[in-house]
Amino acid sequence: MNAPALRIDGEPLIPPCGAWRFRLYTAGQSPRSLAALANLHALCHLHLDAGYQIEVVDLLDQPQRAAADQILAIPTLVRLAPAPRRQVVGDLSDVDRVVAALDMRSS
Amino acid sequence: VADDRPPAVAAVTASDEDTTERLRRAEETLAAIAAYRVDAFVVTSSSGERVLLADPHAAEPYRVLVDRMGEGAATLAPEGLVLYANQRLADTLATPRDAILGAALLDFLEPPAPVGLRTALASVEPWRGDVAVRDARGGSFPAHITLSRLELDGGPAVLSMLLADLRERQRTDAMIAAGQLSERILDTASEAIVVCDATGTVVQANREAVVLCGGVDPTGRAFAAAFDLECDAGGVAALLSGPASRRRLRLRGGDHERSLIVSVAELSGDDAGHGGSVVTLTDVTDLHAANRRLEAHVRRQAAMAELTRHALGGSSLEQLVELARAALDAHLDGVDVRTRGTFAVGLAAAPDALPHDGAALREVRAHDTVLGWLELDPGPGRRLDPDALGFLDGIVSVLCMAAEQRLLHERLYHEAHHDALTGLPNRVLLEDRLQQAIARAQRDGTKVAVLFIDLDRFKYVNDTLGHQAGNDVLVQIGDRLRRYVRGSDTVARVGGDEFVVVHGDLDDPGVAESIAGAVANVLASPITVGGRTVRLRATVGVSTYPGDGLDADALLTKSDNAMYHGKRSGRNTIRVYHQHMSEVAAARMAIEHDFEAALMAGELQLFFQPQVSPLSGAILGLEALTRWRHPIHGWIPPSRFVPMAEEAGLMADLGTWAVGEACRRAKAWLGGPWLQRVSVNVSPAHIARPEFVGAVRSALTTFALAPEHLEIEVTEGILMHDLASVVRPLEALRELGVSIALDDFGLGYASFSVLGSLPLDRLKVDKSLVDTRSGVYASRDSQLAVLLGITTMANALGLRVTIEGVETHEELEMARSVGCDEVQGYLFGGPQPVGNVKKLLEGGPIRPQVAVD
Repeated sequence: MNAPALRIDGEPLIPPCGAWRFRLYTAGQSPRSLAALANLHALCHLHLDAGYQIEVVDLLDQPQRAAADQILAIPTLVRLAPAPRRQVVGDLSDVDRVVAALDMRSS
Repeated sequence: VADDRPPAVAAVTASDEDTTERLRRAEETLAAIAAYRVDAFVVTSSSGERVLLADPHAAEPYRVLVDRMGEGAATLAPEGLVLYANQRLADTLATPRDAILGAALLDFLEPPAPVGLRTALASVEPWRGDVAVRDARGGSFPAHITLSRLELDGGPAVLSMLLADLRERQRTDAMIAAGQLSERILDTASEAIVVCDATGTVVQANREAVVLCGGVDPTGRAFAAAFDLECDAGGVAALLSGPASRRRLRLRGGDHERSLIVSVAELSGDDAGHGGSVVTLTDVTDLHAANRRLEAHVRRQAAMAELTRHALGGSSLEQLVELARAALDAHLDGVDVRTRGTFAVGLAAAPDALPHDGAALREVRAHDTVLGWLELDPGPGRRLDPDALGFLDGIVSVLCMAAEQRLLHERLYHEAHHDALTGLPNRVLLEDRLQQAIARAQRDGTKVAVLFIDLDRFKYVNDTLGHQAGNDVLVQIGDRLRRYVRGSDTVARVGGDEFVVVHGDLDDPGVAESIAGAVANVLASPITVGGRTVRLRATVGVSTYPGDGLDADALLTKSDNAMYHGKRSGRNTIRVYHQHMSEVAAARMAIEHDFEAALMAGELQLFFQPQVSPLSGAILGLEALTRWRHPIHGWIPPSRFVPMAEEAGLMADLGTWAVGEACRRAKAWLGGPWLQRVSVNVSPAHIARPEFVGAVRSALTTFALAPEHLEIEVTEGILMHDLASVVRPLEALRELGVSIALDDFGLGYASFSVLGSLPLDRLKVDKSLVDTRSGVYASRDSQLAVLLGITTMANALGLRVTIEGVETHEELEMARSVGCDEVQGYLFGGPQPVGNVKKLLEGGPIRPQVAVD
């Protein structure tokens, strides 16, 4: 385990369990979709020890759901919580950029 | 350097997060594509979203992606040559897409372009930064450019460019700010505000709108369903789709019914037309009631002010009451307004009970005099609100004020224009009325008669019975005059015992004389005052317009003069004087009218002249002769008053009276040895009247006189009448048993031939035929022959003969010698008053004696 999360007044900076929620838009079993899901789990496991939720939306099954988050390219990850909403386009393989974009603090 | 960053760009660095995020996402998408991190795209078409699995590095899907970008996007070859551009970029650059393809990016930018950009374009390197883009009008606008390096289809690397119009971001910022502001405004608004789309569905509703819907958000529901408005034809749908409007509508909701002001404004739509509407609903339920009350109050105040203006003006009380009634009616809804009483002095009667408790009744009074009532009736079971009662009281107080003022005015006016004792107009008002009558006559071409009346013996009444009695007499005289004249005439008292009558609209000035006579006559009937009966006479002076004068003054002076001349003639009786009337005519007229009064007042008497046997002097009959004892002129002979009675149409009255009186007297005298009958003179005109026979029969019955004791004398004048009209009643009388005598035979018209056609019993030979001193006859023998011939002929016809006017022994001898049945004349006594008759009858046969002249 890496260095513990910084504390201010004894409270963890990372939100409590269940506070991280993601929605991952995929296109069936497309290679980048699978890669994205794998990368996301890895990142979460690595950085979010307080827990997280992932909702996978397969746009091949539910193309109409693309409109809600204005999805153009697949895969796309949406961070629902904590606010504000953030989007990362791609298979999340560029780990440093993703961690920065999603503000997933790591040691 | 300063040229690198135009100030306009710096101004918008604090950009909206949403726009920034969008831009960032676009950049990120491009970056992800460039790094092979995506392998599918979402394509939107008219049928919805669809996922396109593709190699993102194939040019075609990439173009699809670029086309779908919300920002201006392009792919650029080295040196910034445009390989492909989306429509959005063409719109932003205000240049047709065809003209963009192949052009250099720098051509669209305001020089100098940032150095970094130029370098990046030349070396196909990523870059981001703000630029100034030329616009179509020669100016420039700020934009943000992101360049990413991209390899497509394994070909040479190109740049993918995103160009964000920062004006739009500014605009968007403003719009969002405005949107938030308007949302806050909407929510703080006290009105319910609802936005509807073109189909009438609520797409937005503010807090008040939710409250108005009972706490249920109406968003998504049909407006008409969410708001149950009481709408006229066309309903709510027409309201929403119609032009901008503002109207007062009721929101149904049982007891919670609300009164709303509903404003509809149309949203500007697309080219297709209606774009929906914004509906503002203002709840004015409470405001409405208060407003209505205030408005009603203001209107009522105005109505009262109007009424007051009329009251201060010249309107009559009746007009004011009508105005008040109308004002109450107009400003009180659902209330029945009634007036009671006449609003005239002295005619008010107490009103009935109120129809029910809710009604209100107010007196309109002037001081202590109640003139009438105003009643408000809100209908059974309803009550009047305090405002309505206040309004009523206000109206009533105005009417009371006006009534008092009118009454005072009327009293002052009346006092100034009327005689206090009789209530008749005084001289002031008389002159006014006379002037008006003259004006009317002038206009209509008619005449006006002015009668100046002076009571002849008024001073005597005053001196003997006292002033109070005198005043009573004046009041009674005034009343008589007032009752006698027409409503349009004027009766005025102009002096102690002087009255003036103005009688207008005369066609014939001659009628003025008869009116004057009638008026004088009216005044002549007895007046009871203080238990005593007095008889006044009046002298009347007459003048007429336009014959005697053209103005009121002249006419009054002339009539006064005429009256004065009448007085001075010293006859102290009813005198009708007219300036242009001859003395004789005036006198005749006066007596005519006196005669009428005399008939009524019992001044007529019957005298009786004996009809005797020429041989024995025994009284066989009595002829009743009417005499008029005039209180001033003494005895007036029938030769004077009969023509008057004929002219006045009084012959029937005279005849009826005479027959009755004769019957009454005869009853007392009959039963002696000789007297057989009483005869009465009746005019042919009277006989021709249908009621004549009945009147005679009635007289006989009344006085229980056997018909054979009555004889009716008719003159020769009867022959001038239509024979049939007189023969029938005479025959009827004879059938009854009454005998008929033809009087004055031989005086003029006598025609022997018609004697046979009349039902006669007796012929009375006129005195002129027996007069030996008249010189009519050539000799005594010839006279004798005529009388003998008449007698013989009469006897042959079965008639008895009476010779009248026997005054000398010689004439008696002649009568005896021709063998007549009876004689009559001064030789045997003239007409005797009733008091003498009994003695005469008891004296037995009369000895002829020459009358003393």
